Amino acid sequence: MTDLFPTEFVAAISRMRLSAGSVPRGGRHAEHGSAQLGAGMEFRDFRSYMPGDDIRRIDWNLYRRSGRLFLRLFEEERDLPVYVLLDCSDSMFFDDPPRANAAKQTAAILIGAALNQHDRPVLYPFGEALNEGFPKIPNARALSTTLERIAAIGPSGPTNLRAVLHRLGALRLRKGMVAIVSDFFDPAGIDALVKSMHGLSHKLLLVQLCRESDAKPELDGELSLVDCETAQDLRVTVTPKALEAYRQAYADFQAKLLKFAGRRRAGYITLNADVDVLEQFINMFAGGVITTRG
Amino acid sequence: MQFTAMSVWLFTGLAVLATGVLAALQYLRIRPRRVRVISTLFWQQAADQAQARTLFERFRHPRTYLLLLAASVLLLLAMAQPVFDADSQPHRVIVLEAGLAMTAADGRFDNALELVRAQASSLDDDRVAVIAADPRPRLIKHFDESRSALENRLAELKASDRPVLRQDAMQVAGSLLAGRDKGEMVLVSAQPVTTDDERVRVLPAGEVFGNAFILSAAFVPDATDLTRGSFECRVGFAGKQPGSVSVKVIRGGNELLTQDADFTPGQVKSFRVSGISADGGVLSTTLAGTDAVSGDNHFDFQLPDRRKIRLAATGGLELPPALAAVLRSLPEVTTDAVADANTPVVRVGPAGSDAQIVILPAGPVGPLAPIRSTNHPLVAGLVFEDALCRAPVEPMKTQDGDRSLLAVSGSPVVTANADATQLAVCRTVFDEDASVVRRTGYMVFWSDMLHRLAGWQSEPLTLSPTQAGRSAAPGVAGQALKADMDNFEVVTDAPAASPSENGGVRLAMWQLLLAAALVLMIVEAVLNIRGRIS
Repeated sequence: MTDLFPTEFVAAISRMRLSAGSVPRGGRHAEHGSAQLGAGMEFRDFRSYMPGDDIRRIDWNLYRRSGRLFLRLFEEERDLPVYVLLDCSDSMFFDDPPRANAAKQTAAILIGAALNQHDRPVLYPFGEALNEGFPKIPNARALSTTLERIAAIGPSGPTNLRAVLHRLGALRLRKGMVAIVSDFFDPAGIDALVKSMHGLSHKLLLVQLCRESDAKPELDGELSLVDCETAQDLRVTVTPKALEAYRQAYADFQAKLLKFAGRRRAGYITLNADVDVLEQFINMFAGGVITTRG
Repeated sequence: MQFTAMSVWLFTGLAVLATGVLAALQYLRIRPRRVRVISTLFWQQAADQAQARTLFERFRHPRTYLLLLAASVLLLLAMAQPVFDADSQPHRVIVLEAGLAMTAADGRFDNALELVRAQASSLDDDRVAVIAADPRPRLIKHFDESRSALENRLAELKASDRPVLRQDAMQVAGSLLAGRDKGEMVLVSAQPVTTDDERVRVLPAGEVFGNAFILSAAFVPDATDLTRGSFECRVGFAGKQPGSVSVKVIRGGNELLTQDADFTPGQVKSFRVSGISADGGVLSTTLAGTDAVSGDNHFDFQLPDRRKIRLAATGGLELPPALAAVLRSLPEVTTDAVADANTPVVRVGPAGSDAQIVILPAGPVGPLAPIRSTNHPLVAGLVFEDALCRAPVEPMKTQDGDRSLLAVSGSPVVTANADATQLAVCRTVFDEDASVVRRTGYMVFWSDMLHRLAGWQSEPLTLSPTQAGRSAAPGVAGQALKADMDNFEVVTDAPAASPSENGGVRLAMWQLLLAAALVLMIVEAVLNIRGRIS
């Protein structure tokens, strides 16, 4: 495999699973429980027999005791559409090593876990716009090619998550889980970003790639700060007071993102881009099961 | 601490000014370092806060300010040249006139030496400097030298047989006291001296005798004949009592003038000898009589060489009316015939013609410099287009090696061959329009030009004690050959001319301050470069 996805990494993600609770109706048979009752493994309820029902699902024991025909209803296990939005904007490739590496590994873990349980993962790289998703045919054999394609992804301009989410909604995808792997440094600001994410009808998992320097920049003096994405020039005199203001702004940003996740019942993971991603996942989700709420 | 180069108030004012200017510059100082960041999203809020800062907070880089302020103050201190030995004793410069007046055999020189010793011993060694003028001023004791050194030099000192250069000596003394609040000059002299300078005290070293001296000599040409003139000599007299002087002017052993004159102290009289031919001869002027100083009563003067100019027309050329009219008005010019072709002549002739007018110079003609400025005396105020070179001006015929001495509108008017023994003049002088003769400028031009071509010296020379010794400029008529007042030359050795005789301390002080200021500036620059300040 590639340097980004060594063999050990691939082996590790092959043991990962994704638990999303109930999945929306529709789709194909898989391992996720759904609100749809039918021919599954997990018993949910009885109902009276109606003409046309499958007589194989009649509970004969109950008929013998009650003299009435009841059908046993099972929770149908369906697949979960997993849409991984991988931020490939310039900011993700800014530092050395770029936090895009951690983001790519995160996306690979999510894709791998979904494929492990026969879900339908699709990875959409994005920067200023939503790029074409892959793999087209989600099966276990698609993992290696998917990882290669993920590793080959390069920077694609400034972040415009609002446009990306708008485009995603326009695709009218089957309801599933949308995992956004990003730093969420959208020039439009956190308020506009939250508003855009709020309109999504999918389950939502936010994976934020952070670094310590995000919260505590080591800057001092008279500076002309150039945004790596927009090239915007901002003159700042970095004093302790200004640094404090920066930290406060960053804390507000994080708080708003967390508050949104809580209100939206979305998953929210913060990963340190400087620490091994796989290790963080294993520590975070004991047993290798990535659990999302909702 | 005292400031020797500026007053305390000026120093304080400059320091306050530097503080204010530096503070203003600090406010204006914006030198941001460009840094790429992952996002300026959060810095926007910090920047908003930065804009809302108070005036004091906008005063950035206080360490830079303090460093530069300290450097500026040190520079100011260096400029002010502080001295920390704020002693109340004054600086005293003693000027000993060890000239001809001190040679009188009445013990005045020994008396003068004792005066010097007494004046020197009344102050500390570092407060006294001594200048001996014998006759040129020279420093025989610096402020930082000991009294024993002075004694040794005084023991070796002898009075000169020439008049002293008092003015130069006093200038040197004044330069030694430059920048000192308390300074005085003591002049030990054998002559009566009056001065308005409050810093100067005069100590007479002996009785003052009457003394006559030649002030100046000059040759004044006659207005109608520049080859002749009069010799004028000015004689002055100094002393306490009136005196009598006999003035003699001798030429080649012949006494042209012998005259006795009575003088009162401070009186100046002129003596004139008329009918002197300016033939380059030497006139000797001698003063005789009771005289304390015998060195300034003889003067040799060489007259200018202004023999008549001979001018001839050859090749069948007749003098044009305009030029002929000019020549007639010049008594020093006579027409003549050229003896032979080898005679060094000055020629004047039209282009393309063998005819020429030649000027036979009285003596060898020196190198003539081209006239390149319209301010030159020969051409100042002259309108050539009217008076000389009516358009179109035909180019003058020139020979190989000729060079233009005067050109108008690109055409040469006067040329000379390489060794300046032959000269030629533009043909336009042959214009038959005699009306140009009435033009004063035209006449003056040709008169002066003929003088110049003939090698005449143009300006009369007047020599005076203040002018004596300066070498005569080229073209100046007459020169002093020998005179006691001649060769007066201010020779001040470097230490003597330096105003900082005790600069061993003072120079070190301001140099130290300057070095410290530079070090601070370098430190500030290094810290700036390394980003330790900004």
